[in-house]
Amino acid sequence: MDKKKSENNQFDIIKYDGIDFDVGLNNILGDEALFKEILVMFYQDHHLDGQKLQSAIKQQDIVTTKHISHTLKGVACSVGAMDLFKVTKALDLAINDKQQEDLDSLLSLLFSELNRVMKGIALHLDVS
Amino acid sequence: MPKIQKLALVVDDSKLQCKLLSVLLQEENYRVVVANDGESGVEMYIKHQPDLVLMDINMPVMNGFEATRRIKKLSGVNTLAPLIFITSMDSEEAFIKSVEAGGDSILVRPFTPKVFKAKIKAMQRISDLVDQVKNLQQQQQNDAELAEKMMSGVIEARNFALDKIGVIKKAATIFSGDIQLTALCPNGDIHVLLGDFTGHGLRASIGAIPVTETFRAMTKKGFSILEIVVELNRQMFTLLPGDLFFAASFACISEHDKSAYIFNAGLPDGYLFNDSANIKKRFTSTHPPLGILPKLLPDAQLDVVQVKEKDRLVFITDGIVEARNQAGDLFGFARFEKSAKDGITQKNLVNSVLKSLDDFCQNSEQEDDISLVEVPCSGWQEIKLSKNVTIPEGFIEDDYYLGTTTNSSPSWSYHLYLTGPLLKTINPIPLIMNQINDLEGAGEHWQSLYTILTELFINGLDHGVLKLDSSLKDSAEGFSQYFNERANRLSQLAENTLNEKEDHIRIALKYFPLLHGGKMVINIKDSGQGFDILEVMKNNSIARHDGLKLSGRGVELVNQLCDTLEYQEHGTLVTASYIWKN
Repeated sequence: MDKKKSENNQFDIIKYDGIDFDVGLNNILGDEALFKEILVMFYQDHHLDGQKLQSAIKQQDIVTTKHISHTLKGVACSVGAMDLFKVTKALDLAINDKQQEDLDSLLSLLFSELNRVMKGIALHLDVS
Repeated sequence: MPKIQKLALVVDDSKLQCKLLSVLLQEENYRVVVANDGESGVEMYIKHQPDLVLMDINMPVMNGFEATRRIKKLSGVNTLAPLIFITSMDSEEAFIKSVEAGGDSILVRPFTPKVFKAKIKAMQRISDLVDQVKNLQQQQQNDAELAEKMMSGVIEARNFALDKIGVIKKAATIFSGDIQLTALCPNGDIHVLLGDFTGHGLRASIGAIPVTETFRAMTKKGFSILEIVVELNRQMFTLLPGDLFFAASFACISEHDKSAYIFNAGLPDGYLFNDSANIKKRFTSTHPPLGILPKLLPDAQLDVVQVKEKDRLVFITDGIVEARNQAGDLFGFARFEKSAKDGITQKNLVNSVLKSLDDFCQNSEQEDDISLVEVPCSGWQEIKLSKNVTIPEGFIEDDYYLGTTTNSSPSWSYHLYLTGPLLKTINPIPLIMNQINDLEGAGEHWQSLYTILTELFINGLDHGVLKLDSSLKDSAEGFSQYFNERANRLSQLAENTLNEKEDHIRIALKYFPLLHGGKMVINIKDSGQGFDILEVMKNNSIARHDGLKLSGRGVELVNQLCDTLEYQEHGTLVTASYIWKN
C-alpha cells in the first residue's frame, strides 16, 4: 500500500465507526470508490436487520431468523465490520443451539453494534 | 497467444457479496455472471456453461446445496466446472453437506483476497487437469477407433465372400474380442471361424491378428480345418497370457462333397438349419477353448455332417444368449432359436435375430461382444471344369519341353513315401503344394492340381490303406459312420508301430515345362488291395446321372480335371497327367 493511500486510510478509519477500514478496503482490493459504494449497499440492505431479527425471533420464525443472522454475519466481515461480525457469529451459534437466554443479550448487543456501524456510514455517505 | 478469458457464475442472494466476489474474480481475469437464488443459479448455469461456480448456501427459493446437486447432475461425469461454496457457515455439518451435494471445495468467511486467489488457482489447476485427462481420453478414443478400423480392415474386410455370409458383430467397447473369418480353400471348400477371446475390449482383441494370419495362410496352403485348429491351439497356448483363451467354432464346408466338418471348442451350440427353418443338427462344444491346453485332447475330432444345397450353418458367441434385459433375464437359447427360425422363414436371419435382441434388451447396457455368422452350404466358387479335357490351344507335341519330345526327362521330380503312423499325422498335400509354389511360383492352375492331389491321396488312404467302403457314405447315417470308422482306423494305424512299413503311400510328381504352360505327372501308389476301377466308374456314372450317390465324386472330378487318368496294378497305382496353359 503506498503512502498516500495509507494516509487516506488513517483518515477514513476515524470516519467509519465500527469498521476496520484496512480489512474492508483490502477485501475490495484497495478500490476506495468501490468500497464506499459497497458501504452504501451495506447500509441500504442491512440497517433494518436488527428490527427484522427481533420480529422474527418474537414470531419464532427460525428460518427467517437464521437467514438474517447468517447473511449479516457474512456481509459484516466482508465490509470489515469485525465487531459486528463477532456478535452475529455468536448470535448465529445461539440460534442454532436454541439458547434463548443468550439470544436476548446477544440481540441487544447486535442492536447496539449495528447502530454504531450504520450511523458511522450514514454520517459520511449519502445512503438515501 | 492471449489467454482466453474464463467465465464465472456467482450465486448469492446478497448483491453486496456478488459485487465483492465479482471484483475478486475480475482481478483473476474472469468474466462474471450473477444469480441471486439457487433456482436462477441453475438456469444461469445451463445458459452460460461457466468455467467456475461460486455458491452461497443460505438462499431463498432454492438453497445452495440443492442448486449444486442439480448443476453437478447437468455437468455430467466428463466435465468439471469447479464449484466452490462461499459461506460464513463454519460448521462441520455445512462442510459435510457441501461435499455431499457435489461441491468441489468450500471457502469460509472471513477470508482475505490472497486466500481467495489461492483457492481459485488451486481449483483451476484441478479443472485444467480434468480437461487434460478429458482431452487425452478423447485422443485415446480417436486413436482406438482408428486402430479398430485398421484392425477390422486386416481381419474381417479380407474375408472371403462377405456378400454371402450373414454377420452380426456388436462390440461391447470399441474393440471386439470376437472374430469372424472365412477363407477359400484351394479345392473350393470354404473355411469358417467364429471365435471369442476371454473378456472384451483391446485386451481381448490382441490375439485376433495372429489367428487371422494363421487361419488364412494355412487355408490357402491347403491344410485341413483340424490341422488349423491344432496349430491355432498351439499358437494361443504360447502367445496368450494365462487368463486369456480363445473359444471358437470352426467349419469346413465342402460344396462338391455335400458335407461340412465342424469343430466347436468352447462356444455355445452351433446350428445346421434347413430351408424349412428346422434345426437339422446342433454342434455342441467337444473341447475346451483353445490356448488352455498345450495340445488338443487326443480324442479331439470333427463333427461330420451331410449338407444340402439350401442348408445353412450358424455359429454364435455367448454374448447373444447371455445378453440381459433391464430385469436381468438372459436372452437364452430358446429366444435365439425362435428368432433364427423366424429369420430363415423371412429370408433374413441376421435382421430377425438383431431385432429380437434389441426388443429384448431395450436400452440395457451391453456387457459382452455379440457375434453371429450365418454361412450358406452352397453357392461358393465352383471349380471350373470342362467335360472333355483337351490339350490347351497352342500346344503341339513338338512344343513339349522347349521343343523336345514328351519322352524327355522332367525338369524336376518330387517323391514322398509315407508309412504307418505318419499317414495319420502328416497331411502331405500342403507340403507338396508348398514345394511346387517354391519351385514354380504361385498360379491359379495350382488350385486344380491341389484338388487332384487331395482326391487321389484321400482315395489311396481311405480305400487303399484304411480299406473303407465308400458306399457307406450313401446315407446320412452311413456318412457319420464312415468318418467315425476312418478316425478309428487312423488311430489303429498310428498305434501299429511294429509293422508300420506294411501300410504306406508313395507319391511321385514329375514336372515338364512347356512353351506355353506345363505338365505335371502324378503317381500315387498305396499298400491296399486295389479295386475294380471299371466297375466303380460305371456305378458312379449311373448313380451320378440318377442323382443317387454322394460317394465317388472325387474320382469323377479328378477325371475331368486331368488330361489322362489311369489306374494300374489292380487300382493300387494311379497316374494322372495334368496340363495347363499359362
